[in-house]
Amino acid sequence: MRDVDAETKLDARHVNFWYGDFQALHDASLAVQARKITALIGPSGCGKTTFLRIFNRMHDLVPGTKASGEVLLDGHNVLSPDTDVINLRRQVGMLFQRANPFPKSIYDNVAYGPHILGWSKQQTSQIVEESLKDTGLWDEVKDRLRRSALNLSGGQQQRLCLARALAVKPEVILMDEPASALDPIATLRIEELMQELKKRYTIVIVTHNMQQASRVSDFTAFMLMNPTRAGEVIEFGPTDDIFNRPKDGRTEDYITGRFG
Amino acid sequence: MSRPLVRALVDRLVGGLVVLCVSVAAIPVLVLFLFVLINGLPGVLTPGFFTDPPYPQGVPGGGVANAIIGTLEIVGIGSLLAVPVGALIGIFLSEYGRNQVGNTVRFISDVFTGLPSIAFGIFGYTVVVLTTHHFSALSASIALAVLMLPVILRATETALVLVPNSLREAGLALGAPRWRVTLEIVVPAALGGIVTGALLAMARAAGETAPLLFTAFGNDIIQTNPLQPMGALSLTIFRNALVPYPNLQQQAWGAALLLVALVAATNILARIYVRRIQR
Repeated sequence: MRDVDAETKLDARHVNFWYGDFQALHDASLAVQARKITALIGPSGCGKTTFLRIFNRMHDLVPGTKASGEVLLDGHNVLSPDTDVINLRRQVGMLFQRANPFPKSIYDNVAYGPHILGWSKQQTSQIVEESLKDTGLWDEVKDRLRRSALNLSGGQQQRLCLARALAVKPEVILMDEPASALDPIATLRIEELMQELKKRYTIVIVTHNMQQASRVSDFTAFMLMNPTRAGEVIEFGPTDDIFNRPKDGRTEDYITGRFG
Repeated sequence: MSRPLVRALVDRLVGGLVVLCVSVAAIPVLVLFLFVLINGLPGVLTPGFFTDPPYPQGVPGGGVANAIIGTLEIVGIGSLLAVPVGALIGIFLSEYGRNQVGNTVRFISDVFTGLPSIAFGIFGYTVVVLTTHHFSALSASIALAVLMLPVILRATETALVLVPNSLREAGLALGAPRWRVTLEIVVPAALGGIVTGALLAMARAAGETAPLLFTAFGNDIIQTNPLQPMGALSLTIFRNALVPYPNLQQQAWGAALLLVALVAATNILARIYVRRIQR
């Protein structure tokens, strides 16, 4: 049951990844559909986060890492040395496991991306308002935009970080267990937002929480460590298939809670 | 003896030892403060102490205005030289210095921290005084700047390393170049620690005597030109303590009290500032 207008936004092909001598990913492939939510699930240490961070070259920040294979964003290989990493990260935004607002005001947090891009004040304040509205924060914070972002609750901080990522108009948003530090209500809020956002953005989410994956995602990739501890994509397909009709026995074992 | 009893006894014993050690460390400091206060107050309360230059030996009265101006100016110019350079080196060490270059800089800085302060005076003397053929406040500022440098750069590095990596990642993930993330996010987040380090270095420099002996040299007239020899509070203390005139000795005590107050005030200021910024 593939969409007729299916369009591949991010296409990872045969990606291998090393931290020094340790191979963390082995031959991982994944075709992320545009304006859909793709979930990466699997036990701890199976390389989900590593895989996710390759998509916007965040692994560049760790010395001694090496990636091979291809990750095509709209047909262009982001792993090639001539990729403009700064521009790439603008197109592929990221939401982290723990909310990490800058120790600045609420306004300055969201305005930081536009500020980097040199957008005008007027344009910036418009984008800040839009982004905060898109994340449902506007009504909660519009009277205290100049106050420190650190005074917000955990859930609000995470939505602020999402607004901050949206402000540079990305095409893809990578989410690394965005709700793992949040209470159930704040988690639900993030999940509702994701459904809203997928109309305009392509989302890839790493999650430990299988219920969350089955609730929010359109496609799911199940990952597992192979005998040499390198992560592999075991099975990838529509979420409904992965959870109800897994083809691989290992997927079924994990889904039904027999290990992991 | 039963075990709980032994435990209670050991607990008492160790607790007592800790209190003893703290007292041994704290009592001299308190005694010093009291001593300086009692001996220094009469000097500070002498009319003209803050406003007059010293009078010739044997003439009663006079003040330390020359030394107050000198200390402020010498340390001020020294800080203007040392703080920007030290902060930049600290930023380099924390953000780009995880390599051999960084380790070399750290090693040199540690060696500098351990040098006796008179060595910095010799440095100022050979590099500035000998080449300009002139004692000057500037040569003292340069000597003090080199002395302050390791304190500032280490404090800056420590403050920056404490900034969580997640903030750097958040900035980079927005497409910000590394240098902008460093200057616009990491440094502001660590400003409290950087400012504290700078103020502590200034406080230390203000109390130094040895680096000034053959750089600023001392001057009994009020001098504001940094290219001329200049007095300083620490020099007043050093010189006046050695002369047989009671009014000058009293002046030395007064200068000591003033210096202690200045250093204490700087430290307290630094703490208040950090507490405010951390809220």
